[in-house]
Order: sequence, then C-alpha cells, then structure tokens
Amino acid sequence: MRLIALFVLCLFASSCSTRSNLAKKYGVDKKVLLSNVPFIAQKDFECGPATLAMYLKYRGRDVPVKTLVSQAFTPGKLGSLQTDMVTAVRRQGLIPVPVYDFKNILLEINAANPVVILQNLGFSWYPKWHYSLVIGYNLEKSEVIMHSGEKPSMSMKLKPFENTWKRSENWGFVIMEPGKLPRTASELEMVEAVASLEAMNFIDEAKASYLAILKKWPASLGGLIGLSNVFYYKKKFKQASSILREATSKHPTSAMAWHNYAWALKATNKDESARAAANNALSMPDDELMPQHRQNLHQLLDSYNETR
Amino acid sequence: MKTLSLLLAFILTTMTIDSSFAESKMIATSAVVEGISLQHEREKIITFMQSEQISKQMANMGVDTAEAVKRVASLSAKEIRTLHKQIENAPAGADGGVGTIIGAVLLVFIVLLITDILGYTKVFPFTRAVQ
Repeated sequence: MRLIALFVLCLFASSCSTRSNLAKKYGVDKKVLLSNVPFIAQKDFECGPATLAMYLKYRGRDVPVKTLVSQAFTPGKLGSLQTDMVTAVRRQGLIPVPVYDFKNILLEINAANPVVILQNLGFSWYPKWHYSLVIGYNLEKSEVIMHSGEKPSMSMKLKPFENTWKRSENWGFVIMEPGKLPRTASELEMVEAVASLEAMNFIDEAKASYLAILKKWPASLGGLIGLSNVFYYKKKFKQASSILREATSKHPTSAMAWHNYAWALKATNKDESARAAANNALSMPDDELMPQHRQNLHQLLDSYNETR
Repeated sequence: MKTLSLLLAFILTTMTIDSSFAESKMIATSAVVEGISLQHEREKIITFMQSEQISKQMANMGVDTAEAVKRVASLSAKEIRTLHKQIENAPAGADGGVGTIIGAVLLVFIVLLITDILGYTKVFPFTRAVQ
C-alpha cells in the first residue's frame, strides 16, 4: 500500500514539475492574462458567433453578434461549423491562422494574440462541442483562462483543457490584422491564410500581409507569387514582373513561378523574355503545372510563332 | 432611364475589372500554395523512406528503396496527403518523422502501409494501389 502511495506521489510530482518547466522550455512567462479582451456572453447555442464577436472587438471591429450568427451559425445543427467560423473572419477582411499545439497557444498569448479553440466537453459518443477564447494562462497553478459561454475569465485546469481540446484534433486559430503575423505560424501556413483572403478579393489587405511575410521570410515563394498576383490584379504589370523575376531567380526550378513570369512579361510586351520564361516553365522536371497551364503556355509560344 | 443606363454602364465596367484577373492566365496564389505544400509532403515522405530504419525494413521485405522512391513521385495529390498524414501522426513520428525511433509494431505497420500504397503488398483493405 505504501509503495503504491509513493508511486502515485511520484507520478503527481513529475506531472507538476513538467508544467512549471514549460515556461522556461518555451521561453514564455509563467502567467499571462490578456485582460483587455472584451467579454460577450453567449445566448443559447451561439458560442461560435459570441467567441468571434469578442475577438473582432479586441481587433477594433464592432460586429454585432447578430451579423455573425447569420454568417457562422447553422440552425439545423444548433451550432457553428468550423469552416463557417473561419470564413466569417475572412469576410471582415481579417486573417484566421491555425494554431494546433498547446505550446503555440502559450506563445501566441505571450504575443497578445488570444486563441479561438474548439473543445468537446462531452465524449466522442456523446459530443458537446464548444468554442471558447483562450485569453491567458497560469502555469504555476496549471490553469488556462478563457472567455467561455456565459463565464468571463473562466479558469480550467490544464488536464481537462488538453483532453477536451484534443477531441477536436486540437483545432484552433488566431485572428490577425492585415500586415500582422502571429508568432507561431510557419511560412507556408501564413501564405495559405493570406491567399484565402486574396481569393475573396481583399486585395490591399492581402498585399499588406504578403509584404509582412516577405519581411520575415524574404525568399518565400508563396509570398513573392502572392504579391505579384496582387500587382497583376491592380494592372501594375511592371511591378508584378519585377517581383516574379526575383521569384524565378530565388526559385529557379519553380515551374509555377516561371509560368506566371511569362504572362507578366507578356503583359509588359517583353516578348522575347516572355518566350524564354515560357520555355523555362515547360522544361522544369517537376510536374507541378496543370495540363491547362501547359496548354496556355503552348498557346503563348504559338502566338509568337504566328506573328513572326 | 438615364440612371438605369448609368447603372448598367457601371455594372459592366466593374464586371470587366473583376474578370480581368480571372481571364488572365496567372496561376492563383492559393493554387501555388497547394503545389508547394504537396511538394514539401512528397519530400518528407521520401526522406522518411530513406531513413535507415525504414529502408532496412523495406529491404527485409524485398522492396528496393530506390524503386519505391520513384513510385512516390507518381503518387497523386490525395495519396500523398494520406501517406503524409499517417507518417506525421505516428506517435513517435515527431517533426518530419526523420531519424526518430519508432516502435517495432508501428514500424511494420507504416512500412506495410507504404508498400501497400505503392502496390508491392496488399495487406490493408482500405488502401488502393497506385496504377
């Protein structure tokens, strides 16, 4: 019996020590509370829209919960789908960026970015899905602090937090202003997030963010192509092609960069260079071009042959 | 009538501005990102397969790593995603799954999964070999 007690004590001690070590290990503060994140109590099943409304208000956007309900609530499911949560953010011209790791939650909170998370407060066979906003933590007390449902600044022990979050496969995200980067996102995740905003025609917002990406990762292929697409869209073909020249010189084997470079050159009437770029794109060993793109490039080359 | 025609003219102009990008032949950024991430995943799978532990196990099963790597190059986007996810989710897999120590049972599972997808074996009912 004594042995068992000792064993349990060991387990307990080891789990505690790992917790307080986290701060040192990840280089974060032991406790942080973003006390200036406003709280909005949810009604009925509207934890998703309420969570978004709080975060948007924190980012200086006063969007009524009612609007967010119409954008991110599915009455038939009595809840909000994850995809609707993300697109509702984009519809405000802001950028949702995924966070799927506890370490990254700590780092983002340290960078003053709250984190939206999805938890299953029930079990897999009796799910009770719930969105909350993580606004702080206290590693000394092993607690996470959230605006959750009807409770502002609610504390939850790390263990149940991790367990309930894990059931959504650690689904979560931060919301960033255009031109601002979260602390933890990788280059590719960031470009992906901005490209989705660009696809919704938030061109200036996307431009600001591509510039920020290139400041942090100067060689980012996605960032360079994104920025050139923004310029192309604005019909600033010269700028588009000069950025693509940079992209092709930094990534000489990227068929997609050569492909876009060819079209940007064509738009600036640099026919010879456009042909050369098109030929480069077609000769790349990696088959990243879709058949449609290849066909277009062949047409581009043909058009020059005809005019000769 | 005048307002209507003005309105129409306005709509038509905005429409042409909007469609100018769609009509252009540029590859959209989102498509480029997809291509890049697929490339990353493919590379990770190949590094993983070339790691000592895995290639040894494959050799035991009579699979030539060099040939297997060639087959990875011809996997479709969907198959790359599946395989990559399996490797990433392997408990000891860690980042990129390279150079990590994997439990014996799991190792066999992953190797069989790879060889299944590549068409060397047919162990799992849910895999479909690449033609």
